[in-house]
Amino acid sequence: MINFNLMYMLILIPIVLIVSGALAILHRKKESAFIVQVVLLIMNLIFAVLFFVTGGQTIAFSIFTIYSFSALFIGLFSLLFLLIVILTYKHSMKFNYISLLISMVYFGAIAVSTSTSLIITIIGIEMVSIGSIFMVLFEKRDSVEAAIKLFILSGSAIAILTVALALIIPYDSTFTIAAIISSGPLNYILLFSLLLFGIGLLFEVGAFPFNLWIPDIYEEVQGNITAMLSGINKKVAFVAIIIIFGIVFVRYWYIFSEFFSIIAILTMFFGNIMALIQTNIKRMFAYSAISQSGYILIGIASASQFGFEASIFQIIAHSFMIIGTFAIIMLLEFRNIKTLNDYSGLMYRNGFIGFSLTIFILSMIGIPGLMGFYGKFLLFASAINANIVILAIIGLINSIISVYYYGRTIAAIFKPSNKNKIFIDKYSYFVILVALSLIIVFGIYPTPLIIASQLASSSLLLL
Amino acid sequence: MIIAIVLFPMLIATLLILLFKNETVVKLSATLGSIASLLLSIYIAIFNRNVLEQYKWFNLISYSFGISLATYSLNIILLLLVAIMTPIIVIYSIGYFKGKSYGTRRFYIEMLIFASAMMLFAISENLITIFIAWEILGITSYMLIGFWYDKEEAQEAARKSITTIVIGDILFLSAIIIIFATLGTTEISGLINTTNKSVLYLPMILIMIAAFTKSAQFPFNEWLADAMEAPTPVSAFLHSSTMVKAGVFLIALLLPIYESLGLNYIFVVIGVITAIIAVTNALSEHHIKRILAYSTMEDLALMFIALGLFNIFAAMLLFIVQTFYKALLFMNSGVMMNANNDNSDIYKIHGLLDNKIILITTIIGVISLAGIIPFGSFFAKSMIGISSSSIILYFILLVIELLSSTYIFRWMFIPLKNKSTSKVRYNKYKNTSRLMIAPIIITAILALLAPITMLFLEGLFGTYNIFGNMFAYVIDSIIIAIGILVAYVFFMRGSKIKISKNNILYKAAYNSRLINKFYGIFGNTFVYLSEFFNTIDYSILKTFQSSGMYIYKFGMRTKKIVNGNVNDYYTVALIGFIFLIIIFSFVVFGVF
Repeated sequence: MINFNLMYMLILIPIVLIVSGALAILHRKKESAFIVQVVLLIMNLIFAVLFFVTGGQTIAFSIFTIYSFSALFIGLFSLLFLLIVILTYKHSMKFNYISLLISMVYFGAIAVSTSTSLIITIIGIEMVSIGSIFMVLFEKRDSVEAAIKLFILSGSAIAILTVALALIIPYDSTFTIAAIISSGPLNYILLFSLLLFGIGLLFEVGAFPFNLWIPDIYEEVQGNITAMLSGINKKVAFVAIIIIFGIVFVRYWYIFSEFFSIIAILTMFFGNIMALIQTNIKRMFAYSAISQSGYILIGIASASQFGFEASIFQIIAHSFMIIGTFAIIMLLEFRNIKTLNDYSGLMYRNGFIGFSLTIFILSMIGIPGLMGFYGKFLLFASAINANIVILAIIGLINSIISVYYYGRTIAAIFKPSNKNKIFIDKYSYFVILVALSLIIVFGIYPTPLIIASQLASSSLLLL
Repeated sequence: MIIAIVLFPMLIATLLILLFKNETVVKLSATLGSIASLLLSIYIAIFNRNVLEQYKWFNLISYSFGISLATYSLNIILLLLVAIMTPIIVIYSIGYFKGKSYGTRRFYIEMLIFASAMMLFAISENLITIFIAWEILGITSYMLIGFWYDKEEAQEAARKSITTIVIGDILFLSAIIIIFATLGTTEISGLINTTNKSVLYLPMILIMIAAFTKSAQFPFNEWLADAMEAPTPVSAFLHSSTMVKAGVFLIALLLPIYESLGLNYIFVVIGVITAIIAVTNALSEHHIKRILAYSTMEDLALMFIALGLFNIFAAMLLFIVQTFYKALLFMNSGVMMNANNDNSDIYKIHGLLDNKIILITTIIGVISLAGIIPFGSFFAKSMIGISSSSIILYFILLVIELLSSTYIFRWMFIPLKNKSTSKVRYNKYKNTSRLMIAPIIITAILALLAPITMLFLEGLFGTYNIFGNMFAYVIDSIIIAIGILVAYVFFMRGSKIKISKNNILYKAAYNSRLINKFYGIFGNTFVYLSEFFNTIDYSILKTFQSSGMYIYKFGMRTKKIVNGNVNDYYTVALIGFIFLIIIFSFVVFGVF
C-alpha cells in the first residue's frame, strides 16, 4: 500500500491536468476546460505554498523529490502558468488544444523542478520543448518557420543532453545526480558529460552562441506564447542547471565557474548590444531577455549558496516582468503597434498600459524600490563575494548599456500624443495587474522572497 | 503594525480617489478617511503610548534595513496635531474649491499623501523611515505649491521651494550614510545612547542644515514666503502642522545629541537672525498671506531658539499653540480673499465687518499670535525669554515680541479700517460656504483652548514653574500692549499709514531684498560652476557617445549573423560548441 502523503498532490494535480486537457480536446466549449485548469493550478499553488511553509523532504512515487527548492518552483510555475492560461484563454482560437499542451509543459516543468534523477530532468525538458513547439505551431497559422526553428533548437539540446546521459551509464545506472559526486577522484568522462549537460541546457536557456534563432522565434510567435517561452521555458532550463550543477559544484566549482562566467559575459554583451539596434519592440525585449539570462548566469557562475540564492531571486523576478511585458506587447501587436515609433504616446493612449510597461522596464533596469533591483544587487554581490569581481563590473557595464534602449522606450511611451485611445480586455488587465503588483509589492518589501530563495538554495545544497 | 494603522485610512481614501472620478466620492472619501485616521490617532494616543515597534524591512548580505515606529510623547504630540488638522483642512478645502472647478481630484490625492507622509514622519523612530517621509513631504509640497501650474508665479515658487528643500534632502541623506557607515544603526535611541559621540559631529551639523531648509530658517527662509502661491488650504496646512514643523520636530527628537555635542548655540544664532528678518519683512509686506508666512518663520525661529536653550517645554508649547492660530488666520485670509475677488493686498481688502463670525475668529487668531495674556503664544514666548541666560538675548526677544504684536495687529487693522459699501461683497461674505465657516469655528475654539495643553506638557518634559514668573509676565504684557498701541496709532486711528517706498528702512526690509540678492549671487556661482562642469561633462559625454557609436556599429555588424537563416545560426552554434569544449579541456587540464 502506498503511504499517501498530502504532498503527493503536487505531482498528482499536473497529471490530472493532462487528463483534463486530453478530455478538453473532445469537448467543444472552452469555458469548462479553462475553469478546470484555473482551479487545479490554484490548488497546486496553495499546496506548494503549504509545503514550502512546513518544509521537509518527501519522495513521491520514488522518482520525484519534493523539498523546499522544488516547492518554491512548483509554486512559481503554477502562478506563471495561471497567468499564461488566462492570457491564452482570451486570445487563442483553439484554447482546447492549447490547454492540453499547456498541461504537458506544466508537467514537464514540475518534473524538472522535482527531479533528482537526470533522466527525469531530460524527460521534463523534452516535454516542455515538445509542448511549446506544438503551441507555437497551433497558435498562429503562419508560424511554421518559428516552430521549425524552435524544433531545431530543442532537438539539438535534447541530442546533446542524451549523449551526456549516455556517458554516465557506465558509472551510475540509477542516473541520480547525487551519485556523480560519490564517484572516485576527478573523472574526465563524467566531467565531459557534465559539460555536455551544461551546453545542452544553455541551448534551452538561450545563452550565446546558442541563441541566435531565439529572437526570430519570439518575434513571429503570438505574444502569450512568447511570454511562456521566455517566462517559463527558459526558467525551467535554469532550474535544471541549478539542480544539476548546484549539487556537483561542491566538487567541481572551480572548473564550471569559469565556464559559466565566459558564457555569462558573452550572453550579456550579445543581448544588450543587439537590443540596442532594434526598432521592433518585441525583438528588443527578446534580446533584453537574453541579456537577463546572462545576468542570471552570473549567480550560477558564482557557484555558492549565495550565488544560487541570487539566481533564484532573479529567475522569479524576471519571469513576472517578462510575462507582464509580453502580455502588453501582444495586446499592442493586435492593434498593429510594433515599432518604437508606434509606441510613442502610449501613456496618453492607455494610462494603465503605459504605466505598467514603464514599471516593468524600470524593474529590468534595476531601479531601487522594484523587484529587479534586489535581483541585480544580489547577483553582483554574489559575484563579488565569490571573488569574480570582473563579472560584477561587466554586469554593471551591461546595465549601463541597457539603460540606453530601455530609456529610449520609456521616452517614447511618455511622448505627448493625441492618437486615439486603446482599450484592453479584463483578462489581460488581470494578468498585467498581477505581474505589476507583485513587482511593486516585492520591490517595497522583498524580505519574504529573499528568505524563500535562501531556504530554497540551502535545501538544494543539503540534498 | 499597530501604530502604522493610522496611515491606512488616508491611503485607502487616496486609492478610492484614484479609482473613482465621481466628485462626491472624492470629497466623501477624503473627509471620511481623514476623520478615521483622526479617530485611530486618538485611540493610539490613549491606549498605545510609549510603545516602540521595530520591524526588519529587508536584509541584503550584511546590511539590514529596519523600520521602527514609536509613540513617545513627542511623536504623539505631532501625530495628534496632524490628525486634528487634516480633516479640518479637508473640509475647509471642499468649501474653498467650490466654484474653482479644476484639479480638485488631484488636490485631494496630493493632500492626503502629504498628510499621511507627515503622520509617518510623526511616528517614525528611525532615520531611514524619517527620510522616506521627509522625501514624500518634499515632493508633495512641491506639487501642492505649484498646484496652479499655469500661473507663472506658482511655477517659480514651486521651483524655489524644491531647490531649497533638495539641498536639505541631500545633506540629510549624506548624514544618514555617514551615521550608518560609522555606527551601523539608524535608530534614534541608538544614536542617543551611543558612546562614540565624536563621529556624530559632522552628520549632526548636516541634519541641522537639512532641518533649516525644511523649517525655512536663515538662509533658507525665502521659499516659505513664495510658497503663498499655493491654494489657501495648502498654506494653512503647510504652515500649521505639517512640513515646516518637520525640521523643528527632527531637531527636538535629536536634541539630546546636540546637547552633548554642544551645538545648541547655532540654533539660537540662526533663530534670532531669522526672527529679525521675518519680523521686519512682515512689517513692510502688503500681501495678506505673506505676512502670515513671515510670522510662521518667526514662530519657527522662536522654536529653534527655545530648543537651543534646551527649553523643550516652551518649544513644544509654541509648537502646539502655533498650529491652531496659524491655521485659523490662514483660513480666515482665504475667506477674505475669496470675498475680494482673490485680491491679496491688505490695503485693498474690505469689509471684514460684514461677517461677524469671520471677524471674531480673526480677532481670536490675532490675539493668540500676538500673545496677549493668557491667550495663545504668550506663555511659550515669555518662557523662552526667561530661559535665556544673557540679557542681550532677552532684550532681542522682547523687541521681536513687540514687533510681532505690531505687525499682526497691522494685518488686522488695515482691512478692518477699509469700510465696504459694496453689496456684492457683502453677499459674498454672508454666503461664505458653511464648509468653510465650520472648520474656522472649530479651529478658533481649539486655538482658544490650546494653551491649556501646557498643564499636560509639564508632566512630560520636566517641571516648569508656570506661575512663578509673574514679573516677566508683566513685562511681556506691557511690551505687547505697546506693540498693539503702536499698531493702533499708526494703522487704525487717523489715516492708515503707507510707508513710503523710498524709505531706506522699507527698502531694507521689504521682500528680504538682501537675502534674495544673496540667493542671486549664490545661484550665479553655481551657474558658473555648473558651466565649468558642463564642459567636463560634455567631453565625458563625447567619449561615451563615440564608444556608444562603436558599440552600435558593432551591433550592426553582429546583426549580419542574425539574418533568419538557420544554417548560419547553426554554424555559429557549432563553432561555439567546439570552442567551449576546447576551453573546457584547457581548464580541466590546467592550462589556464
